[in-house]
Amino acid sequence: MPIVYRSVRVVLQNSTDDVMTVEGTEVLLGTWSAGLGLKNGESLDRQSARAIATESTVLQRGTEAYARLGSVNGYLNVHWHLPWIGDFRCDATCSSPLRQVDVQVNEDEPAAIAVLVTVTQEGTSPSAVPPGS
Amino acid sequence: MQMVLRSMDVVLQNNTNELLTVESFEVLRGDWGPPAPPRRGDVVEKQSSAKWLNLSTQEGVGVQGFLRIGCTKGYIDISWNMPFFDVSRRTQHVSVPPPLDYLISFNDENIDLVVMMITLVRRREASETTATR
Repeated sequence: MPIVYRSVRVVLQNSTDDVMTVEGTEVLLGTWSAGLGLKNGESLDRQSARAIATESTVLQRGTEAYARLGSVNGYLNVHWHLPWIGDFRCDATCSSPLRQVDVQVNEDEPAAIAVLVTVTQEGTSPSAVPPGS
Repeated sequence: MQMVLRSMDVVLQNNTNELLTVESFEVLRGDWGPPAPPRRGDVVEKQSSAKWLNLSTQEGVGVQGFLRIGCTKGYIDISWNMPFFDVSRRTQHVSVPPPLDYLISFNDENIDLVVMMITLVRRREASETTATR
């Protein structure tokens, strides 16, 4: 089994009443982690969460990917990049002013990052909407 | 079995959460010893350790070598040189990327067979340097 040198686990928390559909997603560097891939056409139900992950098993190569999810209230774009050496970056934006997005990065293990991306309805803070409520 | 005349054990203790990756290494004098030479792509897991041995079995030949180890913050370079004659002229060099720091100690009970221990640590912030009384 190859050594995983760099990995990023992204948890998408949909704290809205919209069904989100994956309309574009690709891995630019590395591969999807086993069982944690994402495909076009998959959906993220309202008030639900989904974990996805990418990884690199190649020396001196980081991992980078993006996902674009659409809903009746516009698009959510998430992009992440963990280079071989350097700082982790994750950008998440919502095209609709009616939606807010919050990104929390856990860098306890700098080579194995975890990110929580929470989408909420305008006027509600992510902490005020616990997952599953 | 040939007698070991000079040796340098390099012990690396990783007291960080970084995943360390051996990216290049070489001996300039002597040979790698047991249990095994380093391999490109070998990892030192977070809060873990590794040991490499550089030894010489030839009269008049000392030990000299280096290791270059990557992590998400940059490169850790370790080099050493212990001449056969006048082993007190032993030199070593360690450099680590700025967010990290290191401690170094030696066991030279047997001056010909030296152990160099390098402990990789997170650099202390100014706010963490409160003295214990």
